[in-house]
Amino acid sequence: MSETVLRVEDLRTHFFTRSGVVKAVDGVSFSVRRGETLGIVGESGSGKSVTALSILRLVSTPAGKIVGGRILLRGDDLLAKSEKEMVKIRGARISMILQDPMTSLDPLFTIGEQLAEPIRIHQRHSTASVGGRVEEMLSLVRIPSPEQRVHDYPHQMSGGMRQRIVGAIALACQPELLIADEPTTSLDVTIQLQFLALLKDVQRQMGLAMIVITHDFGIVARICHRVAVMYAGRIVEGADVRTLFTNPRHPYTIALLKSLPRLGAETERLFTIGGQPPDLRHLPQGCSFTPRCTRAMDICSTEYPSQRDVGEHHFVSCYWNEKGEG
Amino acid sequence: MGRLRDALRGIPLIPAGILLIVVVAGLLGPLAAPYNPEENDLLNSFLPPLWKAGGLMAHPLGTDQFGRDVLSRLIVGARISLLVGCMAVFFSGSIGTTVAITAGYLGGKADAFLMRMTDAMLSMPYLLIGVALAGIMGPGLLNLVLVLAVLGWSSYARIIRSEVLRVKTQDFVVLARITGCSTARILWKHIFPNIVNTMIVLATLQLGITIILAASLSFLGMGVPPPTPEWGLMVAEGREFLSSSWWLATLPGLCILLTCLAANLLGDWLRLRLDPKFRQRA
Repeated sequence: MSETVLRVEDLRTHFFTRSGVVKAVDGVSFSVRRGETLGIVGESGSGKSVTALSILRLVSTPAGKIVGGRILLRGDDLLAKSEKEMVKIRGARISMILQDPMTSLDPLFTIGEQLAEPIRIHQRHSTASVGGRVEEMLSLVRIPSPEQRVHDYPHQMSGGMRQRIVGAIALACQPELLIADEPTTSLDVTIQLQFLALLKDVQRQMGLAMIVITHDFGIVARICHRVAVMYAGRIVEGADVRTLFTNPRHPYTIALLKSLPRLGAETERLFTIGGQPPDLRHLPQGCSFTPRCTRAMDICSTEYPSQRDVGEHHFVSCYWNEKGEG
Repeated sequence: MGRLRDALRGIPLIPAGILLIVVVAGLLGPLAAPYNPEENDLLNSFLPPLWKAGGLMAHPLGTDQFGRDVLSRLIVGARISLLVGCMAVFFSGSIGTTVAITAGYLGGKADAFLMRMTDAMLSMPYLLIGVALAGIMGPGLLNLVLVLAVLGWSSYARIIRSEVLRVKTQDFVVLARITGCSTARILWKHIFPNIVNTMIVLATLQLGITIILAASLSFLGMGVPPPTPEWGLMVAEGREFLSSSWWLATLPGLCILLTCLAANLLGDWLRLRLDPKFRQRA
């Protein structure tokens, strides 16, 4: 069992707006181990990206505020650190890559210069060795002819290549944790697969702990070891990938998996989850999924179900499971 | 030499040439002028330019009502117009950019406050304010520069702020923070270089506008005082002789026009030249 790199305990991030308090993340707990990939799945607005930003403490102030919980990076509580200390951690111990490769790189600098930047910020290297390191990183992400590519500008590269450069920048200082927020959503399907394979290899090589935020179960199946399903700011189910696909226990997870079209199945109509995601300013009492849940009971609308273990490394926040029905 | 060639590739020759002439005239000033621009020579007043009947080689562009050589006045006037223009653009640009970056990057209350101030300034009729301010401060070159700086900064602030907002929301700025860049570093390395193109183009446009504004103020008697040769002042002084000695007002007017046009066209070229997408590798 490898060591835990990140442990998040009861994280709460709220946004204080004129029309109410938006509880974007409301009691989220999970952990990620070395060499392990955790997938965080959910609809838009479920709080996935805010969770990632909270870990990096980049939630937009003044509206956004982390109001509770602990974030432990190898035992260091990130919420207790000053901004100065966080600046040293970002890019060096925790890194992140974003969705859109077309705007992720500064158009005015060569990719060599942009790759060198995190190295210059966080590490002391002579100019010569920075160049060497840059080419090393380009080879790591499988960019051909790195010595020539170093002088290219972002607009001279395709989306897939740019996203790999973004990955290289994120990994330049060998962080302990990499967060990927919808890393393949903007890429062509074939490039997506390439990129995911690359991430997987790099993780193996570097012993990286990874969090992949996505709404795509296909990606989860491909590279995640464990999954957490988020709804309205909370994790409703968490399990190993295999377990989640074969034995989902939360009605939301079941519905999500049911709405995936399957090859060969004879369906005339695609299944959708009825209703709308809740207004995060006015969350209902009890479980937030109740209005859309086919298995809701009276107790569901009065009290939020706490996390229960339902198997090895498998937990759920749902009353329906407790009764052992279904 | 090769690098200079490369840097100047595609430069529009005529505007560059015009601006070069103006700049050289400005640099040389009185040294290049054949006569003292402020010395009266009443015996030779109202001489027409060379190509008209009665024109003399000695005064190729004629003389004004006091017998002062028009060519010399235009040359020395170039220096003043450029000096006033560049200084005013520099100051108003600095104020405007600082306001824009502060408002755009920090957002929130600072943004709201600074933008209301900018709106207030922009909604005021600038010539009126210019005249009022100049009237309060009195004539003189430095005062003129200050008045122009105060009038001009708000146009910068508006436009550059929207550039800052455009750049700030791009993923690479967010990623810069994620990589551990401090705010200062982000502003200096990422925000500023990405807005500098707009700043330069704006500066060249503003140069034209500022020169015209300075000329207008001088025309109204609110800028540089006579007998200093300033193009706008020359237009004003020559106005009453428009039907007889038209060159006294027209030639300085032409100088103003050509300089502004050249500055604008050069600014256009510069914007394209500085955009990496249009760069071509040799």
